[in-house]
Amino acid sequence: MGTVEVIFQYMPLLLKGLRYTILVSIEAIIIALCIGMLLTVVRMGGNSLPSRIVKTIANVYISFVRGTPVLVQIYIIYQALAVIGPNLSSFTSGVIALSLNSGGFMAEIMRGGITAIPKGQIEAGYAIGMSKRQIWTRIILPQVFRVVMPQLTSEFINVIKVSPMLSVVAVVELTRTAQRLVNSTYITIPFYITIAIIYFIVCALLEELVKWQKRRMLAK
Amino acid sequence: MEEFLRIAEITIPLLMQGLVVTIEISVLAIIFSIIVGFLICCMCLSKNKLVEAIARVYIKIFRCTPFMVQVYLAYYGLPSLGLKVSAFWIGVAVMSAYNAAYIAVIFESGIRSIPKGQSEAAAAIGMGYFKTLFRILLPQTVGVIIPPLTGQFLQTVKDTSILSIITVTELTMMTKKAIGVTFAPLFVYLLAGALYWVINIGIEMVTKKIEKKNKLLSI
Repeated sequence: MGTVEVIFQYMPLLLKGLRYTILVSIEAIIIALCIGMLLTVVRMGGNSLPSRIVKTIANVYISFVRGTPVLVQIYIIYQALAVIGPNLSSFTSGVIALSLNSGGFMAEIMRGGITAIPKGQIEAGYAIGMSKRQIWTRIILPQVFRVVMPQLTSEFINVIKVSPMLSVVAVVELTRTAQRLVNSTYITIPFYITIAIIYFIVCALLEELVKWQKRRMLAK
Repeated sequence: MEEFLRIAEITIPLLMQGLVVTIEISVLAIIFSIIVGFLICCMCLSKNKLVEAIARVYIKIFRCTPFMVQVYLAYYGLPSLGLKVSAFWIGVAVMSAYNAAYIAVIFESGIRSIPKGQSEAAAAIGMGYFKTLFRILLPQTVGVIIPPLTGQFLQTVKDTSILSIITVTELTMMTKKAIGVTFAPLFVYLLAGALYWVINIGIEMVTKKIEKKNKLLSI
């Protein structure tokens, strides 16, 4: 049997792996969005002592996440979760690791978005008697999301490109599936080329989405 | 506490060995990727449509596939093409090729940020292609490209950890080795994380200094 036929024979398995890759990435990006928002709100807090302490913690967290390799973070989370809750699946710990990582980057993206909002708007909000929460939910966040939408999509691309590293903690996503097939069929390079093409298609499509979002944003 | 000290005593020499390799790979990869990235950037700016298309395809391929898959492909693919070199050099090669794609884009956007009139003026007074590039365009782009370039260098150092999957004895690989001896995975991984963190903070501080100096010079 030719190599191409073998690959097509195993295509359903690879596509299943792709489904898990996308599933992990979507779950991670949604949790990361919440973490990023939380960090942003914390970092914009006041100058009282408790909020300063929380701010420092948030900054150290972001610096650590951005300053260490994802692979090391994945190992750390995997081992730490094994101590805390031994019954968690590797899929769950993978999602947690990716979202904790992406959350730090998300916070930076959002900070960039917030600096684009003129300070006068927040002051105006206070002047007409809005509460802090109202200012966040009605003035800041809606505008920030519009500005950072393209960057959020690129972060999603990043998460997809990072997700192969989860194969080291036995999450059966696309790369891990390919590794298993390589081990059982002894066909190495064609399988890796196939998954490279699959990743390429997904990422290239998402990149087009980023371009479209950017154009739409500029048009407004 | 004593237990931790004992583990640290075993671990730290191993991690230091790995750290040296990590730094070696990072430095080599950064140097090569700047050279390759610069060439690809020149290809992108070329008037020849075919040359430009080749460069664009290169950038697209390397940016749209995960680095880990590229590492696997290089590790299994290059030897079967007849290139028999150690895992270390395969790591350096794939790392440089990958980073070059990003650096080319950074260079290109830097050069495109300079008004076209300047290169036209340079051509008008009879400057050649390379003279224009080195005397007019590049000196002005330095301020624009240093922040994204720093980000890319930080990324390079972090990405070297992936090379542990192809048996390059860098920091992450040595961390695993240390865990094999000490059986304290969490603590040793945290130590390794701290080491990476220190390197990255160091790079950040150095480039901030360069940036400041550069700003003073331009005024």
